Amino acid sequence: MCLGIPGRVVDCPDGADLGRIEVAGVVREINLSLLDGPFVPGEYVLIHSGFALERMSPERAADAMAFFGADL
Amino acid sequence: MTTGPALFVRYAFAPNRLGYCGPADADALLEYGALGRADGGFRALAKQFEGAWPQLRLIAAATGTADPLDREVVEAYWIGNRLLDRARNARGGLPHHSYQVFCLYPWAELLGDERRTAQALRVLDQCRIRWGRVIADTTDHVVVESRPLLWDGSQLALGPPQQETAIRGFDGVRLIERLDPGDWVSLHWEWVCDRLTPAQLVALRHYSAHHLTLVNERMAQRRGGRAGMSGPRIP
Repeated sequence: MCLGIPGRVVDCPDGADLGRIEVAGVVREINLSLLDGPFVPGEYVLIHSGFALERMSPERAADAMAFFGADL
Repeated sequence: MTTGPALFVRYAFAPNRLGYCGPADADALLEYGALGRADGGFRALAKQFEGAWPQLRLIAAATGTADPLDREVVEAYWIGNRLLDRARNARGGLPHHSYQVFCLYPWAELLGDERRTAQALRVLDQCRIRWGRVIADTTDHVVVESRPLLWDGSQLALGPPQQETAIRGFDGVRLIERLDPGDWVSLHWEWVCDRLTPAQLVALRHYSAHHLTLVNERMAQRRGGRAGMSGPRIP
């Protein structure tokens, strides 16, 4: 079905489980509770099935997005 | 009979609507599903399911089927059928959705992390194609009895039957017709996908069990490997 895909943090209130993340140009609510916050707007996370599973460097996110044929 | 594209949409729509995979426009997918058409537009949408599409191509190539959206190919990937046995990989996996969910996605490995166990188990259970027996159909929702996955700390297994309420449609849009109590259906995330024939039910149970066994073996091997490591412990 779905591979993990990078997303860029738009905002995430302190202590909230859900944050707004831009994924391939679409802003979605993503569950960030499996990672330790706080989250800084602009940083990248790897998303799978609605959850952020790990933080990503911008370089790694760019490589992954290139695989999917999209730009950051 | 349901066309390959329409069958694909019945199974792919739920995670797509949740934003987990596939194209951003879930309504377009729904429209194609309702029409059962497979023109270039639908093919472009289907290719954006970056997990499913390569598996459909793999099944088609292994079985000499020209079209990855052929009905039997689509059925093989989501439910399972004889085509899969001609597309086995070297590690015992088959290009069935349950292989991806249990053996390729990261969630099974996260079961052992207490902070992530509950969410990992939920994703594994909802992301696999489940089966259940219909108790009641209330038009937009269906009450179903199914067996959720359980995790005992070392193994995944099916638990005892439980009732759940799944979605059959909304705003007058439905991908399958009315169901009767006693019907067997497939489920993906919170949606009912399709009514299962007895042969499809057997196949879905069989291929799901195959990959459940495979992932349990792999997790046991990893635990064994970790337990058997020797040498100085690095703090």
